[in-house]
Amino acid sequence: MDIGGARDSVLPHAANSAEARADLESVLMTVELTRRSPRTPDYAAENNAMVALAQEFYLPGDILESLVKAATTLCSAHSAGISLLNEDGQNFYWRTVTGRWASYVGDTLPRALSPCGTVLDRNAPQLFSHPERHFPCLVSMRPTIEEGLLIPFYVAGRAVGTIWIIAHDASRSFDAEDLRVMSNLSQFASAAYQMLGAREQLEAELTDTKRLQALSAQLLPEADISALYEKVMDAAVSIMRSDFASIQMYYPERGSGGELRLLASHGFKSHAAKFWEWVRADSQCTCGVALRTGRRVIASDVETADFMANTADLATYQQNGIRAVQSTPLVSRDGKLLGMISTHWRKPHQPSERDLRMFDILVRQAADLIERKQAEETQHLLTAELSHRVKNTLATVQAIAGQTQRYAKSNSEFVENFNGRLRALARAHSRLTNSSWTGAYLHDVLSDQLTFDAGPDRIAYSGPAVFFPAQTALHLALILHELGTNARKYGSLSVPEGRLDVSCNISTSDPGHAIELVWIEQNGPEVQPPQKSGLGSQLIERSLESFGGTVSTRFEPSGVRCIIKLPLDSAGRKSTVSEVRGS
Amino acid sequence: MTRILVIEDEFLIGLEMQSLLTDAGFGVVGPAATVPAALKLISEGNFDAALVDANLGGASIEGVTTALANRGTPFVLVTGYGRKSLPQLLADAPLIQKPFDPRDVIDAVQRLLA
Repeated sequence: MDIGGARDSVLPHAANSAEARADLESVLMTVELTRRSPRTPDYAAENNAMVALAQEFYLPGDILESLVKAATTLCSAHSAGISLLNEDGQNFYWRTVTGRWASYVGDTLPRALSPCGTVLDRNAPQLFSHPERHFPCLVSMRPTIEEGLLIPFYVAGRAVGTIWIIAHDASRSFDAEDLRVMSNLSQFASAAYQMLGAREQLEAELTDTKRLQALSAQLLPEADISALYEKVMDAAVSIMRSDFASIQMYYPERGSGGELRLLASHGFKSHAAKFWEWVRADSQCTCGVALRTGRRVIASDVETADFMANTADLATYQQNGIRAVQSTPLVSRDGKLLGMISTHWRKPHQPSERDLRMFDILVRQAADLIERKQAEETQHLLTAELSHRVKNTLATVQAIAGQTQRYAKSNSEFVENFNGRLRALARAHSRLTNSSWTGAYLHDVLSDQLTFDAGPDRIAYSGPAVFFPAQTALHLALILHELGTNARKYGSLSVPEGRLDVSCNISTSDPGHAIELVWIEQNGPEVQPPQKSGLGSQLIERSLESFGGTVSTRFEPSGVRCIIKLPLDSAGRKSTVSEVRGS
Repeated sequence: MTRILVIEDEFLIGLEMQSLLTDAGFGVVGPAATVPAALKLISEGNFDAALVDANLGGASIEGVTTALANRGTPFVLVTGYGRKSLPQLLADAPLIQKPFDPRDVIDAVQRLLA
């Protein structure tokens, strides 16, 4: 048998020659344990070792290491160790090794090719003699095994590993007393293994909790939101033990049922980030389904998820090496859908209850983050819109000043007319601000602009409640201000007995001029058309042109008669007519 | 007489621009307050340069500026929004901010014609 020579690995998995391989039964001699006369038990030593181990339970050190050392001492073994079955159940991991084989710690052996596998298969302790004769993996290991005693140990009825002792030469042979001691130690190993598992889980939870706490601290208002998405992604990958993560924002106004936009991702290829930049509500990926149902969707294996079969989404998962995925809706504290957070795995994966519980804390934080992002976006839009409105208003005021000045015969006339127009504009703005600039009712605009003290019986309005869009209402306000000023200075309202009737009629026959506003002055002095057109008359006659409005003014002996016609649909936004209001 | 097309949806501002241009010795076409009205005046073509409000009642002005560019007519944009909110196509167009200095309007028009 070739026992020398260079090998690539410490534990080669292949036999060097099949015909030289001995039968499994020929390397097993478990029956010898009962045939040999047992050595005298050393209960005192055993007791001391057990007490020392029990105390170690409460210390932070490696209890499995102490356990293996105790096995070496109590059984006078040349080497001892603990091998643990990996999560996939295919390999044994040499968790702890002491004695002459101490340098082999951390190696792995395939279950099917190792004595540990035989022990689990037979679910009983086994004694091997020169097992390298059957197990080629052991051939190159030095010193060779004279005999080895392996005991399985269990957690919750499931075999999770073995504890073993080795004699490397004939100076030591194991018997029933060694079996008894090792059986006790294997029960101890089971308890220690569970304790370590619990400790690891606790440490992982502590790490995740600290991460979540750190994230909470970073969610302070002054932090940059985009950088925080990356941190949320890192936390998601850590908590869910996933390979990828993504966070999306919900845009309810897009498409039918809304769409999700990718805000940040972890591990996606650019192709995937592009494909999933916008996800529609009818998409067959988990986030699309979660969007429609409002609940978390888990595909523990995308290959077998019914809702994904034969879809482009499945193909994209496959191209990116994604085999499992979960999507969890991000919901505001008042129940509104804000977005989606997803994690993805390269292998089929069902997240544990513990991981999902931790993840839900992150989900809460991510939802708050998105809500803040939305509020900031709205705030930004409002500020930009306000800035624009202020600049345009200032430009209008500038034009009013320039135009008023052109027609003014004196400084005092300029000041009077300019102030009057500025105040009319200010009143219209106040009215529109009350409706967040959606528009204003005609009767409100009228009462705003006819502010002078004329007595309640001298001005009458009749007609339905007509709601004009903001820009139409604003220009109508300026016109009514000019008409009112003229009436007070020269028209019917310049004398105590004069009166003003304003009415509004809606005609269904001509939608282009459906709204007819009639201004009739009566019992005033005889009026004459102005000799020269001023800014007031230009405003009255022409400023509604861009809203499809027409104005005709007649200077009749009984008083001014002005008819303003406007389309129902002015400036693309409908004027609305509601119930008839009395005068 | 050199004629300037004014495209502006706010009546009072249009009126003021008209006055400023007239005072400076220009003829004025418009003001046009809507995209269709502007396109109609552009198709008639009786002008040498244009002042264009960058926001016509919320409608996109790209059709208007494209029509002007196709005719080879120089134009300057007038806006209360920043340059950032202009369409990509107009990122480099000359710009006057609202509210404007009347002298800047005349200077900008004279530069267009130079």
